Amino acid sequence: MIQGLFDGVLVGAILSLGAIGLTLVMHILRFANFSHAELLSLGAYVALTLDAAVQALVPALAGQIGGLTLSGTLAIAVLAAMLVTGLGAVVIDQLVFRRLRERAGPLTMVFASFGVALIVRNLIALTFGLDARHYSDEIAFAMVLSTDPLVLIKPDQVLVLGVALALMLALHLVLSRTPFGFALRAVSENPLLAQVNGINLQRMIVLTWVIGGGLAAVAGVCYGLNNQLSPVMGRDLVLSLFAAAIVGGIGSVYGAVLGGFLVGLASSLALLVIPAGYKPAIPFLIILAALYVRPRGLFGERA
Amino acid sequence: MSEVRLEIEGLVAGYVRGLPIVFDLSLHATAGEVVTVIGPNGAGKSTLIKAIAGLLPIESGSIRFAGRSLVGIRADRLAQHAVSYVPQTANVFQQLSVEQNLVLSAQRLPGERAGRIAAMYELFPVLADKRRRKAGTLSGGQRQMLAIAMALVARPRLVLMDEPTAGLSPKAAQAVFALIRSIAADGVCVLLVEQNARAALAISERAYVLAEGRNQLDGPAHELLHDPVVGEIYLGARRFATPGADR
Repeated sequence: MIQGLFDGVLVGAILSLGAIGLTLVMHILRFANFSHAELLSLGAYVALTLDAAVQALVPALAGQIGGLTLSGTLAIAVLAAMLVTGLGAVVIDQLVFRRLRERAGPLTMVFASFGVALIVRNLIALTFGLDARHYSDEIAFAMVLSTDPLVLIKPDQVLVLGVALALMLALHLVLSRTPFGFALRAVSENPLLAQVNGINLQRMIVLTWVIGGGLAAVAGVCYGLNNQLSPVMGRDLVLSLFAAAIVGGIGSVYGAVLGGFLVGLASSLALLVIPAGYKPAIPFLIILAALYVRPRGLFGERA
Repeated sequence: MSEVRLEIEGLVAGYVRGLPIVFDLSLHATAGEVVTVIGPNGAGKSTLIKAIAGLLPIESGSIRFAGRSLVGIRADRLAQHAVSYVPQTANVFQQLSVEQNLVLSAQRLPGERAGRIAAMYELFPVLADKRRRKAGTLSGGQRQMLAIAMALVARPRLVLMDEPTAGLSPKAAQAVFALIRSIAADGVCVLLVEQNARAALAISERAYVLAEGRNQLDGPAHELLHDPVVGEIYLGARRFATPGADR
C-alpha cells in the first residue's frame, strides 16, 4: 500500500510535468494536441544522444553522482534536451500547426496532431531502434526504507520527484509573480484583449511551445530513469497525460499538477485491486468520471 | 496641440477581405474632444473602432493619428502610437488580480511603470482597495473602471471605447461618463461608440451618425441631440411610426 502510494506519487510527478505543457498548449492554441506525448520521447532520446556526446567530449563528468543512475553528463544533457525539445516543438508548430491555424478548424488540427505523433514516433524508432534503452547499464540499488511493510525506493526516484517538484514550484513563481507569467495567463484567458494590451501573440505561442517542450523533455528523461526508454513511450503515456489535463481542467496549470498526481496514484493503487493487465484502462475511467461528474475539470474556468 | 488629431478618410474595412462592413467612412477628432459615434445595431460602429485598433484588415482609406498612419499596425503595438482601446465586453483578465492586470498593461510602455500604476490607484481608490482580488470578482462598474485604468496606464493620447456603459447600472454609467469627460479634459482625444446615445451625446463635443457602414450625419453633439431625425431614429423620441426605422 505504502509502496503503491510512493510509486503513484512518482508517476504522478512525471505525468504532471507532461500535462502542464499539454494543458497550456491546448488552452492557448485551442486544439487537443495528441502529439504532445511524443515530445516526452523526443526529449528522452535527445538527452540519451547528448549524454553520449558530452561523455565523449568531457569523460571526467561521466561518473555517476552518489547512488544515482544520473551522471554529470546526463545532467548537462537534460538541460540541453529541454532546449532542443522546446525548439523542436516550435519547428513542428511552424511546419504543421501554424499553417493549419490560419486556414483550418480545430478538428483538422487534432487529426494533424495524430499525424505528427506517428511521424515523430517512427522517426525515433528508425533512428534508435525498437529495443528499450537505458541511460546507464549500471544497476541502481534500491534503498530499503522499511522491511515491514516492504518499501523500496531508488535514489533515482527521489531525484525525479525532487526535480519535478522544483520545476513545478519554479513555474508557479513565474506565473504568479512575473509580468511574463501574467502575460501567459492573459493570453490563455483572452487572446484579443492580451493583444491590445501590448502582448505579441506570435511570440507567446512560441514561448508556450518552448515551455511545454522543455517540461516534456524533463518528464521524458524522468520516465526513462524510472522505467526505460522506448520509441512507444509517448503512445503509452498520451492517455494518462490527457486524463491529467482533463481532470485538472484545460488551461489550469495547477489543475494539471493535481490531475497528474491523481492519475498516477489511481493507476498505481488500482493495481492493488485489479490485475495488472487492466492498468491501461485506468486513465480512460478517470476521463469518463471527470467528464461525467465535473466536465470543466477541478480548476476549469468555464463550462 | 493642433497636430494631435485623429483623421480618417475614406475608410473601407471589415472582418473578411472583400466583405467590408464600413464603407468610405470619414471622421476626425481632436485632442481634448469627446467624439461619439452612434447608429443602429450593425451600423459598423464596433467595426470602425476595431479597424482603428489594428484588429481588422483595412481595404482602403487612411487612418492617421498625430501625423502618423495607423493603417496596418499590429494591435500589440498600439501603445507605441499612444493609442489605447477598451473593448466592449471581456475587457479585463478575470483570472488575474487587479494589480496583475495593471502591471501587465503597464508593461507595454517602457519606464517608470510603478509611478503610472500608483497614479491609477489614486484615480480609482476602489481599485487600490481591491488590488489583490481577482478581476473576475469585481462588480460591473468596478470592472469598467479597471478596464479604463488599463487603457490609461499606458498614457494614451487617443482612447477608443466600445460601449463603456453597456450593462452598467445608471449610477455606474454616470460615473463612467463623468470619467470620460475628465479624460478628455486632460487633453486626450476620446472616440466613443455608444448605444446609450442620449447620455453619450450629452457629454460629447461632436458626434457622427452611422448607418449601414456609412456616414449619415455629423455635427456638434448638442445639435444632433435636438435634431428631429436623429431624435426619431436613434434617441427613441418617435412621434410617428416609420416602417423599418424602429431599431
